[in-house]
Amino acid sequence: MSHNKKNRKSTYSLFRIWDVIVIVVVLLLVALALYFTLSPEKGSRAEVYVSGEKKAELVLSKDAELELNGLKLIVSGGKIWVHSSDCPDKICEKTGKIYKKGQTIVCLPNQVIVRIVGKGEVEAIS
Amino acid sequence: MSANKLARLSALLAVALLLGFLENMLPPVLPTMPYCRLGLGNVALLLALLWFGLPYAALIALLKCVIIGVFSGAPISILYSLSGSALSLLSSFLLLKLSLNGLPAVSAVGGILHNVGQVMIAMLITKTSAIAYVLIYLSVFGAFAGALTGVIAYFVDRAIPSKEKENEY
Repeated sequence: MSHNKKNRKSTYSLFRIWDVIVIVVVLLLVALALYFTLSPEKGSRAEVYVSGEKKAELVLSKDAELELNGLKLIVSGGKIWVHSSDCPDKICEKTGKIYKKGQTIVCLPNQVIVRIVGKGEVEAIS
Repeated sequence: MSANKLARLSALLAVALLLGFLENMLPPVLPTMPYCRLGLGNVALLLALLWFGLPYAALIALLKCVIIGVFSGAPISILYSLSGSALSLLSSFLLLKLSLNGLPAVSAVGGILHNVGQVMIAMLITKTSAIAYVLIYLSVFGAFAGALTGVIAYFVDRAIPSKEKENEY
């Protein structure tokens, strides 16, 4: 890009025509996110993974408590949540109650993942 | 490196750290998605990239990630922030070189890729592909957070006299 160092204004702009591509991509992402959010299919089970290995499967219709890897999980009223965790950031606790298919609670420090699945859903685990 | 430049780079790092720590103390922007963060500290990183170029911006990003990671009590978070920062810095650098886009768009792409990098590392560490699903929400959030970062950086850049800078795209 040619510019005059001595008396230039800003070489950067707020908007250029190529930004339309970025905007379209972002709009597509928004549409995809909306699609996922607005298809609220209730899940039936919660799978609990530790370090990528499935350690437990809880049926959401049955109230239960589970302590594992520093986390205390509670199932009640068709929802599951992390009641307490010994991790520093507490993001898993703040995520709150989940019950829709595909919803996930992630505790990265403890490497625990809780995921809601529906009936007979094909598992996609690497 | 002149003392002057060292001082200006240090000031940028200080701003990045301060904004990063402040944001850690505030409640999450979206209560249901506590891992979504605005990343206001990245305004300083973007300015470092604009004014001093990729190597210096990378240095500041590295220091920011390590320092915040060590002091926030979750050293593993260094890995996440480093992978995110590396991807977003590289993409912003390339887009600035192309100079087809405005600053908010450049930064929005950086915001998306920041989260892509973090989720990729998270998938590697937890060995679980299930969390790829949160990426769709994270990338939307990252796009808007990045665009905001770009708008702020644009106005800060305009407000600083040009003799203070030495790198131009």
